[in-house]
Amino acid sequence: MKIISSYSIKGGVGKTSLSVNLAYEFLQAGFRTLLVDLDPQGAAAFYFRVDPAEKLPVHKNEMSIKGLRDNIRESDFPNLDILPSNFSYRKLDILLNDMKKSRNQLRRVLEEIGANYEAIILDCPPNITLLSENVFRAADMVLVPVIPTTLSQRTLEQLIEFFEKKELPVERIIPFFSMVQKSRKLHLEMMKELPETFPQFLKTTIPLAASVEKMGLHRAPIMEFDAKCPAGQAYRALSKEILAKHRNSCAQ
Amino acid sequence: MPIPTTPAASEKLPEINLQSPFRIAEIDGKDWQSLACPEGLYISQKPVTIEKFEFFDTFEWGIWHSDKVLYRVKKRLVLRERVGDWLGNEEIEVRGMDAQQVFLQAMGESSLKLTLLPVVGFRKLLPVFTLTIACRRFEVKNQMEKTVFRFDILELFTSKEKSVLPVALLIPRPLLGYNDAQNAVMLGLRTLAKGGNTAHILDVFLKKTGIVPSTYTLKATYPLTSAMRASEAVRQIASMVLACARVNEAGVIEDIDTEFLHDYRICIRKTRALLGLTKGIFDISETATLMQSLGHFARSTNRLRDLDVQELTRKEFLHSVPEDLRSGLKEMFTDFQKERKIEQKKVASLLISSDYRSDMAAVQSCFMEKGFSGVANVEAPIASLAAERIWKRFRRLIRFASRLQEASIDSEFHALRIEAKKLRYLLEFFRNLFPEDSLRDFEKQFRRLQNLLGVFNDLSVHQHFLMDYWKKKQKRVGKHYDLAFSLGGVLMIMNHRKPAMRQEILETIESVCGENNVEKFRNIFAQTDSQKKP
Repeated sequence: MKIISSYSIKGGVGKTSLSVNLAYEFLQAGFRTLLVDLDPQGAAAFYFRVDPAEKLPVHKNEMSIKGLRDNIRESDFPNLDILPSNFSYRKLDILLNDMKKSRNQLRRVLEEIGANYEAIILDCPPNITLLSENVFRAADMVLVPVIPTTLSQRTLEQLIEFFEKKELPVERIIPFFSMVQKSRKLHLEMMKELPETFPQFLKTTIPLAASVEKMGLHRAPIMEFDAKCPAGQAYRALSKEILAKHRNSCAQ
Repeated sequence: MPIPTTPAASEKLPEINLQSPFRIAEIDGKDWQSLACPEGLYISQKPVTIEKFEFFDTFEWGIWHSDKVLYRVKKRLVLRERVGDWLGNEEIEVRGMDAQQVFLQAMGESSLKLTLLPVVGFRKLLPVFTLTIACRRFEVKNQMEKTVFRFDILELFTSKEKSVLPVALLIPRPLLGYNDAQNAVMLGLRTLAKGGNTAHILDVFLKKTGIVPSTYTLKATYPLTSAMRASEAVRQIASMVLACARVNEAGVIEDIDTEFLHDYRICIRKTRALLGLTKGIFDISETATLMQSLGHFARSTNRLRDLDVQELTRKEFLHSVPEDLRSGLKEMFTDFQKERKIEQKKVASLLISSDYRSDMAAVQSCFMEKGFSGVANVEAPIASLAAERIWKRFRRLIRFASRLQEASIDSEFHALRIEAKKLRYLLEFFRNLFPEDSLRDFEKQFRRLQNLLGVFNDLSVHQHFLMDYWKKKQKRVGKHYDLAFSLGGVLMIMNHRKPAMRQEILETIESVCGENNVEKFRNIFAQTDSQKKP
């Protein structure tokens, strides 16, 4: 089972677009997939037309496995399931803090509910909290969408510092360029510079595209309504690159 | 056809079950949809898909009788269980199948092949029936246009134009996490249900189309009773076995697969064994004539069977020898294949000849009521005669077995194999006359002994076969160095296997002929007081 998170400290960089399209592409590649929406906004589930969960299931001061399982909904695509979030997820950090083994709760839960899945994608909220630490400890890969601007360098450095402080493996961080505008000189420069400092950058880049925004209108992954668009093709290529990277790291 | 709103009182409706398909009467669009759909939900229909399903099975319908079906749709070969009124969700499939791969042995390794091998063996997969299924897929959606439930309505046809079944099948396809919506829709769909017939829908389809799954089996149960006269019992068994032989003739003639000839020969052998093991029931000279005819039938097919065995075991045989020895053997197998074609035509000609047909008819008529002249034992109750013969054969087996040692020659092991076979036939013919569980342990050990003796015998026979081949080949033009090198190596490998096999046979004999089994046989089969004494 692979656990892949879509994470960034910053909002609006393309985390949810990544989660939704990545989950879809993993399904197309033949993996039984679970998309877990951890963001109280519930956007990932929204894109799949899945209602928010009723509440965050907690039992005896731990996340309830049964409750979470009961919340799973099958999407319109067989073998792609969604675990929707709820607005009460905004209190998740507080709840986690009161739980035993607070930094590994998510890992424990995903191992149980994820037993029937070959891939789990985590859509994360834009912050750096106890929940984030849970994500970093649970995930095999932490995919970080990066808009190619100067501030992004600082954001990445902050993330790496956090990993080092918490003694987490830095190689889990896999950044890639998102919302790229090749007409902008700054973007091109940053796309050349940043990988020199952070060699883990994926080669595939995701362009800024209207079709990504239209996902909210269609409430579906891009390849479902606009298979030919460059952004959809880019997500497909990104998924292949991620899968290849994961296979290589397993082989080592 | 009007849609029933309430089922007839006499019809038993299925309970609501989200997983199980159920039958519905022919339906007509909009009305039933509004009936089935609660407020807040709506049903949309996908385009109808029509697909042809070709079902395959062996001559024996072995797959069907193991409650499974094997079908090909487009280029997928799929194996599924017959569950409830349709097919199980779990399926094993192989993609990229073409029409030529009708023998499992020719297929690549897959879980489908592994699952089917015990049932199919060397049988050819034959097309048994074709079904066209029109599938209407429906999706139930909520106000957000999220699909909350799916179901299919299947209609089964023999062709696109003609509907065979007046009922259709509704197959629910629930989505995880939407139980409430599904339950609500199923309550409405339930009103369409048509009860009554509890046979599986494929059984109904076959009945409608006049296709009857074969009930052929080599392992018959003979309808004997303890008090039945011996002659009557032997007639019944022989008639059934010979009828089974005849059923296989067409398959041999058409060369469908090797098991037809194999079964035919087993039936001939069993009939001869029956007559040999029940001596004293019928006139000696009449029996001898019959044995001669049966022997002739068997001998006429010996060579073809030998060649079949070579072909069936070719891959396994090649894998068992070092790679350096394989290339020389290819020439040999090519020769075998050529000879097999000729031999098969000979056997086919024999079986369709008027001489054979009249000879076989004469043999069969011997087992009619007045076909044979009875002698002393003809009136004896079969149970006591069978017991006496079984007890005698068992003691004979022990005598033969006790003489065997590691240094015994092959023919002595072969003789034991013959004795074991005779006992096995007696037990097979007359088993039902004795308590069912009484010999379970013995039969398990006995089967093992027979298997070992069989493999040992096959090894010896194979060696002779290859030597004979080499002798004939030497007389032909050409040097055949590779072949000589390979055959020499192979014969040596075969010889090396024998000592370990002998040891294993001797160890198994100890348990088969041990005091426990002697005691069991005595208790069940010993007839007289002197026989009953240990």
